[in-house]
Amino acid sequence: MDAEEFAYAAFIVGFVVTAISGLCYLALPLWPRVAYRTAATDAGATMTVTAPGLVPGWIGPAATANSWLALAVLSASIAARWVAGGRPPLSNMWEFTVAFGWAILLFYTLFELRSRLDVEDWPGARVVGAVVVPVALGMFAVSLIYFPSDVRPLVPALQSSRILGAHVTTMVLSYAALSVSFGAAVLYLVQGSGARRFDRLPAGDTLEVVANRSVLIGFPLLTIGVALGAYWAYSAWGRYWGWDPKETSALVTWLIYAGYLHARNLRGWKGQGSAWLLVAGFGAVLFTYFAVNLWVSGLHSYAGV
Amino acid sequence: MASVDTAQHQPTPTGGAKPARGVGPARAVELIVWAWRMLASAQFAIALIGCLVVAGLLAVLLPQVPVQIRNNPAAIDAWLVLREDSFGPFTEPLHRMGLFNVVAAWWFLSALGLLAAAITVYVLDRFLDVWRNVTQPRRQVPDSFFERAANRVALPSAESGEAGARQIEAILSKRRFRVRRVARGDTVYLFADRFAWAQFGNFATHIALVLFLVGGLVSYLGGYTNALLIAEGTASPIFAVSHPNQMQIEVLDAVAAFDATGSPLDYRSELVIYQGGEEVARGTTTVNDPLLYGGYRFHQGGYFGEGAALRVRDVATGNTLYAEVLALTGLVPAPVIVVRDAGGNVLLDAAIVPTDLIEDVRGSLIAVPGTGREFWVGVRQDDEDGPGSAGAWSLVVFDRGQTDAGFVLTGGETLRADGLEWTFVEAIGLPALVSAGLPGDSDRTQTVLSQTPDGTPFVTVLGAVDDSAMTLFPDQPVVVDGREYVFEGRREFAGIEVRRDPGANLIWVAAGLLVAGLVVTFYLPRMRLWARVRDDEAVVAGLAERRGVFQSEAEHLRKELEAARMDGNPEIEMPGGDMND
Repeated sequence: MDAEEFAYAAFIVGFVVTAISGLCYLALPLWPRVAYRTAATDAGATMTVTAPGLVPGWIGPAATANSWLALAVLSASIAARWVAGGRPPLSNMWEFTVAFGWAILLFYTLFELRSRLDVEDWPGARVVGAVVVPVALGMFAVSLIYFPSDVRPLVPALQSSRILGAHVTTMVLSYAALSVSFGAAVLYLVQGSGARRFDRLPAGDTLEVVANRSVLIGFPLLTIGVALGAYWAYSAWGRYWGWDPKETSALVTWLIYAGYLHARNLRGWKGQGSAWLLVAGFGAVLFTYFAVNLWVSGLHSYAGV
Repeated sequence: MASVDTAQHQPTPTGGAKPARGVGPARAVELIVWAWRMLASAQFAIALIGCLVVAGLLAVLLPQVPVQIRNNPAAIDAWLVLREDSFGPFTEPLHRMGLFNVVAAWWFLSALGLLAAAITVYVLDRFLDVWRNVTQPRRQVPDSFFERAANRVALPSAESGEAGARQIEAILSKRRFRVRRVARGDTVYLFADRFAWAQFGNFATHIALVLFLVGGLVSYLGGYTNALLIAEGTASPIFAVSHPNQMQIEVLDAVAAFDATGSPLDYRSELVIYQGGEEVARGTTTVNDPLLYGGYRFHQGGYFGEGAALRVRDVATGNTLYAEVLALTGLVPAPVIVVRDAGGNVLLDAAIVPTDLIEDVRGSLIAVPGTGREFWVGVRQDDEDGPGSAGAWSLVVFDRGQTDAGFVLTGGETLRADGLEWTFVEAIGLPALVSAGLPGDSDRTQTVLSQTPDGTPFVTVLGAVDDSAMTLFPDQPVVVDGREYVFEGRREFAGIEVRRDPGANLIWVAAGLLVAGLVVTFYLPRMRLWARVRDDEAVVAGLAERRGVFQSEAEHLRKELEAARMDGNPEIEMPGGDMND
């Protein structure tokens, strides 16, 4: 088995483990609330009785453990692919998308680790994984279904490994951080800011804090990523900005999150309005990532499939 | 409003009514104040951001006029005609609204200008307040603040009064606070400030955005771009007209490497730059590493491998009549055929360069070696779904001796006819160019580049002599009518983009400022605390960006104080000396 084959095999294992992790996270909020049990009566007959359905205690730790395991296996896959290609595996849609999903897992597991320490209603905050981990799983599924996985040589414009690696890495990490803000925002919209609608979900205020913290990490990374992209464009094409569809779409994404940071300080927008902005922001992330590369002709089209 | 009405009906010194001249002074001031407040407000910023988001989405979703033709009205008109398939009668209105060139539309540029104005007003509006807040902070607060502040905590203290205050001061100093201490009777007040200057981070991010716009404007006004296609062994001026910085670029070698699938692996060019007749720079330019000289960047912008160097000489005088490297940017269809005899021996395996156009078939008269027979062989593209649609290619063959006995083959098909086996392998495009200026009988000639099965290139020149075809092999002159035609060989072209961008450095400064501002604003835990230490209590209250930061800091303070009390050693080392008033 050569490095490329190992990378693919490890990816498949990582995909499966991520799926198991995602199922465990989804079980946290969706586990049945009522359990039906069969009980014997004094008369010797049986009857069905109901009891509160409690989430088994092992589900949460299993979700966390599997997310760490998936991260480790996928890290090995990416490292093997790096060896196979002799360059950072960040040069086509397969590699971008796998790195995107990997970064989501990385960011989420670190977020969870940190949240144990300072989020007030931990372990409730772990439910954010029920939204975020399936997003990572979706990235892996899209890679498997749509993009060829073979290692290919780089076109000349992509042969600037340091700048390219830095640009793509920061973009992927920023998108990963923003995916956590998306997960928290979705749960916030479900939970609401006032009365706690669902006791298995974290409080709205906690989700709002989680979402904002993720943006405070993702937004500077997005800024650095766009700036590095501009520097790369200046090296390769002689101009730092050309209103290429990818550039324009990345700017739109940046503006939406800039709008969020401003809106969060306004009383009328804090809460629901800000959360919707985060959902729109992540929609812009996905649009920039998939739609512009695959369906809009531009200078980033060579990075398609 | 009332002041304006009154002013309009005031009698003038000359007895007539004073004419209305827009707004009066009071109204003007009101308007300025209103505009100032609006521009400085977060609501306006969000609305403006929303407009730019919508504009950006339109620029991505709607087709945009390509950059190369934005200054060419005729090309734009032709481009718009193609758009009518999608937008029908709305094409012209959309174009007039600037929706096919959003980033150059007046309303988009106005929005950017408004953004710059809003940011500038915001910075000016807040700067003095923040400056005072940082340099002249309120060091003393009333006692009621310690009872009512949202962020406040009562702390245990190992010591009371002055000693307790020193203890807290020492802990805060270790946590990077600048601490000031004031004693009033038995009570000691502390003021502690950490990273107060981080408030300027917000201004840095906003000023960076203005710098981006200024940098873009400088690039637009002072930048220079020129795309040149230069053949190997030739030179080209950078500027089309006389210019004080005029330079010549010579391409010594244009190199391209491709993998087995035809995907490019490398483009590079060996360049020499001349100025004032002297060589001033020499080097290699690659896609990611341009050659630099005199503030100009020479980028590898493209590569074109299908060039042909032609030279025509007057035999009698020896004078060169024509010497050009033609970039064969067009394509002519040509059939690739294999002809075998009855025994299966290959008689011909070649791409046939078309020299004639008969109806819709491009072909040529060829002799099949070893047979003494001539055939007219051509290709045509079939209409699949009616006229205009691109269909499959077919091979058309006529025996010159039996013009009524032709046959047609589709791609990959083989046919036996009159003792020969014909296989139509495929139709390919041969590099070609219709040009003027080649000495001969016609004003316009077509040059087609092809190669023999062993890889030797050759050109076929159509129309130069007697309206017929002339085949030229490398360095094998052909003399016709006293003119010697020479194909000097195949040549490659380097696409060189010459750029000068005085705004780029501003952009990098802006990017650095923006990132630094964000890091300072988001990650430096700035905080301002006030402490009141009495014999029986120590209360700390404060202002923090986030409540969690205050709680974390208060918790740390509490733990340190409790540890000191448990140790019975209140003396905590003071870093950085005494900072008291």
